[in-house]
Order: sequence, then structure tokens, then C-alpha cells
Amino acid sequence: MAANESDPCRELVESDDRDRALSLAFAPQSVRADLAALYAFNVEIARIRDHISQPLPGEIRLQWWRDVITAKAGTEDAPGGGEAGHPVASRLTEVIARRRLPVAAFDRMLEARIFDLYDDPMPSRGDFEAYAGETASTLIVLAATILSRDDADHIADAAGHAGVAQTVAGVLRLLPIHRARRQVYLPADILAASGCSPEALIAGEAEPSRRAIAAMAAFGRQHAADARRHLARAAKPVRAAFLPALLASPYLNRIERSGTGALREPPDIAAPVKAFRYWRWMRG
Amino acid sequence: MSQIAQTVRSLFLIEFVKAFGLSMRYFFAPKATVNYPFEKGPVSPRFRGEHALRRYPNGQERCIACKLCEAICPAQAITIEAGPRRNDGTRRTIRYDIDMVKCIYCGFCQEACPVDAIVEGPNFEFATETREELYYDKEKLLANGDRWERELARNIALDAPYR
Repeated sequence: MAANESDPCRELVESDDRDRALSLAFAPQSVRADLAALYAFNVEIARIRDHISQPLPGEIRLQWWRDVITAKAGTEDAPGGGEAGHPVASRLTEVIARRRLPVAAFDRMLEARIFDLYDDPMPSRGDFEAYAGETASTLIVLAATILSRDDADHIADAAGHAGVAQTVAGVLRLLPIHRARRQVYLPADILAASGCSPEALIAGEAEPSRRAIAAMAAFGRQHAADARRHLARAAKPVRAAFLPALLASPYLNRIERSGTGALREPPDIAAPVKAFRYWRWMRG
Repeated sequence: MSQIAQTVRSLFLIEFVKAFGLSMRYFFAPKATVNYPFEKGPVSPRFRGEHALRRYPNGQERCIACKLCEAICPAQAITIEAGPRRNDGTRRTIRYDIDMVKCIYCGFCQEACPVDAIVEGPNFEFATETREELYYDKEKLLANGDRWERELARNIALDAPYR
């Protein structure tokens, strides 16, 4: 891509996923556009719930993405228009083909995103880890594959833990929006163990919610620590893929400090602070 | 006692003064009515009015002829014909009709659209004198999109976190 040509994927990531957009600056110039296409795909499927009022249109959108990606991989004509013309889909399918990314991973991401469309509570910790593994962790592995195919084979454990930690921080930061939609991403067993219920969390009852948030933050912090331990052995070229996930710990600290404030306003980290942390992790 | 109170009220025109005060309060209060069609009431960002087909900022049509809106439309008000794949690999509609008489304004078409091409905009003033004028074709929908783009983009952004 020419330097002066605008990249719709990059613009989308910059407007809707600031953490990953900032991490692009720490990736080599040669792979930034490819990573942007991958992250833009993640934005596209993660924000489907924002655009729908009922699950059916969301399922249709997810199926469209599945058709586009699998049809392109099978070199058959994508049904109904195909990816060409869609700014993200056309770049993503080109990246998948050029980088030989596994189509099954995208299929798993799309399958996991069906959970977003419904208001069913998250049944258990295991289900949450599976959801996080198929969304955030898969994205980290795909990004690492783009960064360095050889080194990406050895980061499965680190990506698994980092993805869960990142998802924990993500769902806690999205608590105000999820509560407004009556969605509960906090696993039922964690809620029960902390003496909270999905109804109490949605209603914003102070003490049970504070305990549930603290328990969830501890769960996320455990995974963040495990991720960091595994990441110490990861090769340097793939580190940029982990940058957004490594913000999980600071996010969790701030969420726990804000207590029930997280129910109303998610805590954020200033962009220069994020950039400094990214720089330190890339260097260290 | 009540006789005295009544006399005092009559003598000092208390009812008159109170009624005059009430009249003056409403005289200077903001109007509850609007001078339609020169003034209009506020419209919610999620208001589902007249349909429009949007373009990208570079002028390219967003619609990629995937027909998801046609498939999901519960009133079967949308009819699409996809054209052949072009040299650049894209495919466009050669026919995109919406029967506005059949449409029930459920908004499923805009929710299913993967490229945010078909949208229901803020315009509610599209009454016509004949039924034929309510059979919208692609040119009419694209013209609506060009006319309302600024409001459409703003409404999509405003409403997204609250669904």
C-alpha cells in the first residue's frame, strides 16, 4: 500500500480499539497494515452487538463473515457479493491468503462471538476461559503469526493466559454497557462464590457487586501473572502481539481501586501512559 | 369570617391578579407547540424513517449486493438484483427497490447490513400523492443517502452503545 493511501482498517481500529491501534506503532512497518486488517476484523465482529436489537441480524452478519472467509479460502465464489467492496473483508482475505493464516481460527472466533448476541449469563469459569481463548487469545496467536510465523508456534500458553486476562479486563471495563443491556459476562460460579447474583450485578447493588468485581479482578490477575511468566520465554518479534493484553494488569488495578465506580464509569489509562508501558515491555 | 375574606378578595381583585399572573407566566414561558413545517420537534438518533443507501467518503457505493437485507426483510419489501462481478472484483446491485408501502420500518435491513449501506434515516416527511412514488429505486435511495449522510453518520455513532 502506498504511504499516502488511507487505510480504512487502520482508521477503524484507531476509532474503535485504541489499545490495539497504539500497539501497531510498536510493530515493524512491514506488517502494520496486515495487523490493522486483523484487528479491524476483530472490531467488526465485536461491535455487531452494538448494531442490532435482536440476535437474528447479528447471526446473519456473523454467517456472512464466515461465508466470506471460508469461500475465499476454498477459492470458490463467495455467496452474495463476497468480500470485494467491503473495505475490511477485502484486505483481511488478502492477508489470510498471503500470510497463510488458519481459516479454522477465524471460524472459532466467529462461533464464540455468537455468545455476544444473546443475554444468557456466562455459566462458569471454564466457559469464560473458552470464550476468551477463542476470541482474544486466538487474535493474539494470529497477530503473532503475522509478526513471525516461526516464533508463533511456541506462544500458545502465553497467548491463552494473556487473552483471558485481557477479556477479564475488557468485560469489567464494559460493565456499564453490559448492565444496560442486561448482559452478564461474569461467570456464574465466581458470582456465587462472591455472594452476588446476575440480578444484583445488573441492579448495581453496591456490596455484592464490589465483591464480584474484586473476585473477577483476582481471576484476571492470576491469568495475567501466568501470561507474564510464559511470555518471558517468548521470542522478541512476537511481543507486539501481546502489548494490548499486557495492559490487563493496570486496568484491573484501576478497576479494583474504583470499586463500584466501575459499574457506572469504566476507568481508563491515558494514551501516553499506555505508550510508555508498551515501550518498556518491548524494550525489556 | 368567610364573608370578610370574600369581600377582601373582591375589593383587591385577588382572583383577577392571580389569573393575570398565570396568563403572563405562560405568555413568557417556552411554547409547547412548534410551528410545523417551519419548526420540527427533536428526533431520536434511533428514529427509523425514510430509507437511504449510503456511500463511502470517496463516493463509492457501500452496498456490495450481499442481499442480506432482502433475506431478513419480514415484509419482503426489498428486491435486489446483483450485477456481474466487475474488473476490480466488486459486485454492485443493478436493481435495489424498496416498496415503502410494504415496509414495516422494523430496521432489520440496517441491522443485517455488513457495510452499513442501507439505513433508515431521520426523514419522516416523504408523503406522496400517488402510490407509485413510494416504490423507491436505487437512484432515489442513493440520492437520499447523499442528502442525509451527515445526519445518518452522526445517528449511527450516537446510538451504537445503547442498543
